[in-house]
Amino acid sequence: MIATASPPRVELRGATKRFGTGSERITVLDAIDLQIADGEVVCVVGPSGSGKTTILNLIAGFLQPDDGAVLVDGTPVAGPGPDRGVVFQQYAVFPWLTVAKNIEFGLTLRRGRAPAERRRDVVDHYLKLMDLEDFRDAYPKTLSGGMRQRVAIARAYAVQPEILLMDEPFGALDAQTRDGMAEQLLSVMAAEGKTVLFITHSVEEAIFLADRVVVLTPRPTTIRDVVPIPLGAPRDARTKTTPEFVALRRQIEELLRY
Amino acid sequence: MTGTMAGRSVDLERADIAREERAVRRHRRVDRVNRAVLGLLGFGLVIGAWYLLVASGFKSGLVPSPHETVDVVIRRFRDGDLLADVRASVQRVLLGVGIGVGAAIVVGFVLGWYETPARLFNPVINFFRALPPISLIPLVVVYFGIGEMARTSVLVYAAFFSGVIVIFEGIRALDPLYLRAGRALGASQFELFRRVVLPLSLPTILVALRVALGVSWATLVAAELIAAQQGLGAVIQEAGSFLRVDVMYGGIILIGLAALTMDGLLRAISNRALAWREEVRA
Repeated sequence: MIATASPPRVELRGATKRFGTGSERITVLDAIDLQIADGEVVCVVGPSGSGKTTILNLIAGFLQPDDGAVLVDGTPVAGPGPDRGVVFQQYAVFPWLTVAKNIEFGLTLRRGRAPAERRRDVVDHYLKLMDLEDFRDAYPKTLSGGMRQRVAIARAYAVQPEILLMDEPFGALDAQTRDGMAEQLLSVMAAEGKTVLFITHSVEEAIFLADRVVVLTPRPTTIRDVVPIPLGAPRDARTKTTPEFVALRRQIEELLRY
Repeated sequence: MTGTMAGRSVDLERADIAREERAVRRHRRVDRVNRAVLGLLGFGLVIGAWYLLVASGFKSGLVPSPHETVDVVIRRFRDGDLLADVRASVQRVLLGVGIGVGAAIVVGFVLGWYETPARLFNPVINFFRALPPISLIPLVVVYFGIGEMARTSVLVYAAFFSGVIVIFEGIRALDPLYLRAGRALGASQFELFRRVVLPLSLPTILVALRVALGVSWATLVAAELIAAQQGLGAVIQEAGSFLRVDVMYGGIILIGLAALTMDGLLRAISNRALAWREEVRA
């Protein structure tokens, strides 16, 4: 089991990131070691300012580590690429494109070009999966925040990345929408079976979605602990009131406390 | 279970949005009528004040009444020469704005995108932007003479410097979030520019066009002071030599109307092309 030949899907090896210069230079990430297996859903929680987003940005390739290595399938990350889909906290759907055009965007680029028929199939598939069928030709400005984020998730999945990186995608939504979105994402993740890194400041959301929850310390950030979530599937709103869930929640909140 | 719960909240969202959209649309319609009526009323008030001024006997004989002005404009249009003047002015403005803003788009994009050229040229551009185009006219005459080239170059100057600053600031303000999203979806540098940066900066380009159009009409009379045979500026200039106050009024009003019409057209195009924006009205 330990001696498997294939490298983990994502690996951070002593990854260190500093921002600023001179005396104002601060260490945001301090030698982070993390492995994410293929098909695993890992949620990252931590105090605000602890560099949760920086971890995601390193894997996405928007940032390079100052020390250590960030590997995807054993290869150092050189920059962003369609093998790693990203969903941002702010609604990053392109406002000048309709819902359908947003979803198919990655498939119209040179690197991921797909024929029109296949594009239509993919768009149909994700419109249905994300409950957006009535909004195929709508512009994002007519959509609510939750719907925009569903478009963003569909757009990220449409290019069929092996890894999905989600940076507090529900952070700007109200509590009710948020719970509904998490449930919907859970079923999408189950159906698509990709490797997912999900950043959130909600412990409850993290436990609800994750196979493992990574708990960070305040800056300079290291990993406080990694908590396995043995809740299994299916999970729904009632899962959150089970004794196991509540115990996990208390455990992680305790880890975050100091 | 999960499906129905998510489904119900989605249905609620849909109903909410549809209701809100209807209300917004109704509000817009009322608002548009209101805007048009008040806008016309504003002109009506100015024309009324003009009649009062004439009736008061201020500078008696040197202030034509509105209908006398309309009369002389119609007469001149019928003779044919005024139409040629309007056409000449419109052509000059379009040429000046076309070349000026065209160059401003290229330069503005480069300066907005790259830090060093921006630091290098920003102060210089602000220096030239501060110069009134009229102050350059004697110099322009020295270098280009008094031909069409001289007049157009003044308008190009005015359009370029008013446009470049708008485009520069606009490119600077582009949200990097969309660039990241594009790159993560696999866009190359060129695709990022063509598929993300360009559509995102269309609003800025249209604003630059509007600003440049305004400044160019304002500069037109000065440009046509350079011994123009034709054009609205030349008409006003010539009327001045013959103390034809009614023709002066007519020329001035035609410049205003032409500028207003062009701006209105551009605004209509903007509202259509930028219908996707959150705040639609330009």
